Amino acid sequence: MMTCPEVRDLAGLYALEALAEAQRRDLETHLDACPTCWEELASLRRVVGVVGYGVPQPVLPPELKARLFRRLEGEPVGAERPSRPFAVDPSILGLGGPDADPWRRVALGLGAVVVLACAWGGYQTWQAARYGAERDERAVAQKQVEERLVRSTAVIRELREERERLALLKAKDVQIMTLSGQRALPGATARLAWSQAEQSWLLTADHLPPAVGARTYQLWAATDKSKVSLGVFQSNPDGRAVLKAFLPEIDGKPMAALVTLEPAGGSAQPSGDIVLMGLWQGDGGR
Amino acid sequence: MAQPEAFADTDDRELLQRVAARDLDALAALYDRYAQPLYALACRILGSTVEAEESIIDLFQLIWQTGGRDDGTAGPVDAWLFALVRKRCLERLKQVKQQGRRLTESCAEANGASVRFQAERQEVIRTALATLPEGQREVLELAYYKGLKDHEIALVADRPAAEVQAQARQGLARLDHLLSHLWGVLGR
Repeated sequence: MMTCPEVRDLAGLYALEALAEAQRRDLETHLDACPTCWEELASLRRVVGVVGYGVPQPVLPPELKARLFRRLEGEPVGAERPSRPFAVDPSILGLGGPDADPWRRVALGLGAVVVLACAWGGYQTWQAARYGAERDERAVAQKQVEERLVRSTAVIRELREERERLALLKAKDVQIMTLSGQRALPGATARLAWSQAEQSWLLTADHLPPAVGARTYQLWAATDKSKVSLGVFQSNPDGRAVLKAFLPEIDGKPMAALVTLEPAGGSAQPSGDIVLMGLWQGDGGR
Repeated sequence: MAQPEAFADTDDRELLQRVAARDLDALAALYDRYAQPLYALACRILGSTVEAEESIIDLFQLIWQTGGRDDGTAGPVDAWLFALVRKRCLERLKQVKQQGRRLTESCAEANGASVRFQAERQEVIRTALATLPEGQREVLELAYYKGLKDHEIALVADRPAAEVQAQARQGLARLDHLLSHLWGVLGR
């Protein structure tokens, strides 16, 4: 049977369902007898359970739901629909009487078939129109609800972002650096705040015109060993940019922060004009 | 059919119980809640809108036919749905390859205004994934989105199996740490 250290080594792959069958079985045999390893694995599996949220979100086709429910209409869903619109007593049409003329019976029979076919067709059309109207009403109502939800979500997101920004600025270890506009954009200004405790940084820039063409702004942390990209961003038409992200692990002693103009998508290393720069002051100037 | 807001306060488990009791409105509510992120994951795995749409229809049809949950665990419903759609998409991808078909419809990336309940969660997890060291992220992506086994990952990523093991474990542990921290900040 596997030992605990062996299980620990394989825990990540197991949680990702990336182990070969035999290894997976061995590991599960161990888990059945080891609550400690089970606990440890539970946290990794919990993470795998939400990884799916991390992908870009192509817009869900709005008609997909209607397609699903059209397909389900073929399934038994509980509510019974009438198998036929109404019942007809044949004697009403003179089809059942013992004295009926055979030709008359045939003629009346054919007539009855035509009448029934027309009635059934009319009923189907009426049903289709009714269900169509209900579906349209549902679609309109659903669209309204979705629009309200989108608006509410945007407001909630703004509030949360504001709260995050405040949390960072109120952190005890917050460091703040002022970045000045360089030759390319002398009027631009920015402040960069970061906190190890909050594990994040916040940049607020002003007088930074939107990057034109297929270009973007990119923020860098420069150390005595390397320059690390902190992220790419665009400014608003009013020249303002506010963005916040995680603080990456930075190798070396911090020296400066730069904003450069780079091709869309950003660069691996700074290659374009430096538009903003601030130098590390040791205590961060707070 | 009941309006979506009728289920706004109904939690996922109760929704599933109602689906099991043949409540079509509950299935519609479950769809409204999770079809978007599930579709996004299907698109990411299959790279085709046509196949992704079919996967989503198949998934909800399966849930309706089987009457809800069948994995016998008590974990979160969203994790179960992601696992289900991932498994079905990886199987579908395998079939496509076996049949020698080519998927031509591409999934265009978009910042869906259609993302709703999970918008905040999506942003947080995407950001957390982006902060992982490249090697760890690559191992996670090859395993999760491509369904590769450890030896295949080692081959594709051109690194020793022991390194793949370590990167899978460290990557998930780091994500766990980051997400715990972020949920804390967001008051979740």
